[in-house]
Amino acid sequence: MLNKLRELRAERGWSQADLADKLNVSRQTVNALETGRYDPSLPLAFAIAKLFKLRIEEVFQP
Amino acid sequence: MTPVANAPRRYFIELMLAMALYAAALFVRHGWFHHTGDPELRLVIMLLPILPVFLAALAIYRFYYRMDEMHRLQTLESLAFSAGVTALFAISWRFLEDVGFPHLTLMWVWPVMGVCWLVSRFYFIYRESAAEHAVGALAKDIAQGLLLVALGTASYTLLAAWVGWPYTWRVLILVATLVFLALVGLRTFSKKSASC
Repeated sequence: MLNKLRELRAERGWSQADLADKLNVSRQTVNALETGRYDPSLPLAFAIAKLFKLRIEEVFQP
Repeated sequence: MTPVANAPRRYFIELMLAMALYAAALFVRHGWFHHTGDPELRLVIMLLPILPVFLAALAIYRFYYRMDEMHRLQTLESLAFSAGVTALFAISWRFLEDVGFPHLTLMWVWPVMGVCWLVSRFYFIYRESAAEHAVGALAKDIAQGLLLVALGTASYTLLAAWVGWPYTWRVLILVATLVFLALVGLRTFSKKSASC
């Protein structure tokens, strides 16, 4: 699954660790999400979309 | 620090306490067993190490529910891998015993599962490090870990020989394991971002 997580994070000037803290996940998980090695669960995907104030399909594309 | 980021530190403290109690229980069991004639007390002393083993299992259980979802999934995959290999080992070994291989007790299930668990954990750590182009740092970490385990075991052996303690391979493995756990804990504390 493709996502815009890296771009969205860069736009806000957050590090991977900053984003991990905001989502209560590890930095490794943020890295795995950004590189497409891990697809998040629905609750985590919704939490990410809510954090960036976007709709879920604006962050993730199949 | 968020609950997920703090999870390894809490796990390390809880597990080290359980392991310290386990080591103490082993020494008590070894030292006091022959000095008491009360059969009920002997039974309690004999079964003493079971309690810290349960505490260690509780620490692992608590850590599992503090992980984030990706690491929880990886943990389940590691468990599935180690359970599968252990089942294959147990079945195969039973047939091998029929052709002359030595008989192994149920106690061997745990070391086989533990080694498989470690192998699968190292696989996941390697995969993450490779994705972040940090394989060199990982190799250095592993080399330092092995060196510390070797030094820990060697220093205990020398100390035991000098003081005159009786030591067995089980005790040496226990000491090496404690040193390894201490190293993992120190690494966890030293990194800005926790591993899970």
